Amino acid sequence: MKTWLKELERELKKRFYLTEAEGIVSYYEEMIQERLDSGESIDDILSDYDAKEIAKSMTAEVVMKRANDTYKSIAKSSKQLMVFLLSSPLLIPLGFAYMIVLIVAVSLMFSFVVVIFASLVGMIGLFLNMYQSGLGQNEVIGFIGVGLMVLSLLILLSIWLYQAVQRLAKKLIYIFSSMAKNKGERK
Amino acid sequence: MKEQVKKGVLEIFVLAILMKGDSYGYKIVSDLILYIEISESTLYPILRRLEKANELNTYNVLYQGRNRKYYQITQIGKKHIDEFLLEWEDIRKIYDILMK
Repeated sequence: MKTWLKELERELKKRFYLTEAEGIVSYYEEMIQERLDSGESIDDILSDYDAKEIAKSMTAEVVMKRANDTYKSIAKSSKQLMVFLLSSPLLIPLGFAYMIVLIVAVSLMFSFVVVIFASLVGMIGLFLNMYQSGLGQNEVIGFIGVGLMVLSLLILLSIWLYQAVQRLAKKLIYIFSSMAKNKGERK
Repeated sequence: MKEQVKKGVLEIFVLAILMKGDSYGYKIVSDLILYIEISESTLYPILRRLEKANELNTYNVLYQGRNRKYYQITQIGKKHIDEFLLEWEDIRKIYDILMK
């Protein structure tokens, strides 16, 4: 029993966080123990369970229920969900759809970052140009003021972008994992 | 029972078992398996979902030198059953009207 539980833990740790894996392992440990107490043999009990299959079948459920509130956990969940979808024959089309949506979202985010960065560089270039063209002190101070305002707006825009991307990724994980779960249950 | 219907009612069946008293994983599966096809692997996500939705409370009891996790239905869980049964009644009424 201990060997099988270790195997289950190993399989779960490949996909889940430690606390998630521990919850599932202790659930199965209790189940096995109860079945042993009711008189079943350990071989019969273990023949009913497949550690790899258990870990795989729990993926959509666990990923969906995660808080996914940091970039690290979002990235991990997205990766796990993608691997899970692409490794399950029935869910491959869903996996490709998820991949396409992610690529589009990441491309949009990247273009947005480039636009913000280009605006910043453009602004610095404009200031240098003005400085070299011999503008008066008042005009330069005025333009710096405008520049700082634009810079503040860009910073606000970046924060908004950061939050929007996080929300979008979280939503996508939820939508695709619940679709995978429903498809898996209908299988 | 069709999978889609089963999915919706399994949570209610688990809650219904707990209406009779607190119970633990293996006992819940053993009680349910008399009426419906269910496995330990199917039960785990259901218990987790209900626990997350605060429809269940859990506590551990020491049994033969090990911990046994007990599940207890909450007021939210009871409300879930009531709402489900009301919806079910409505479905039945509409069905009866349509069949007249």
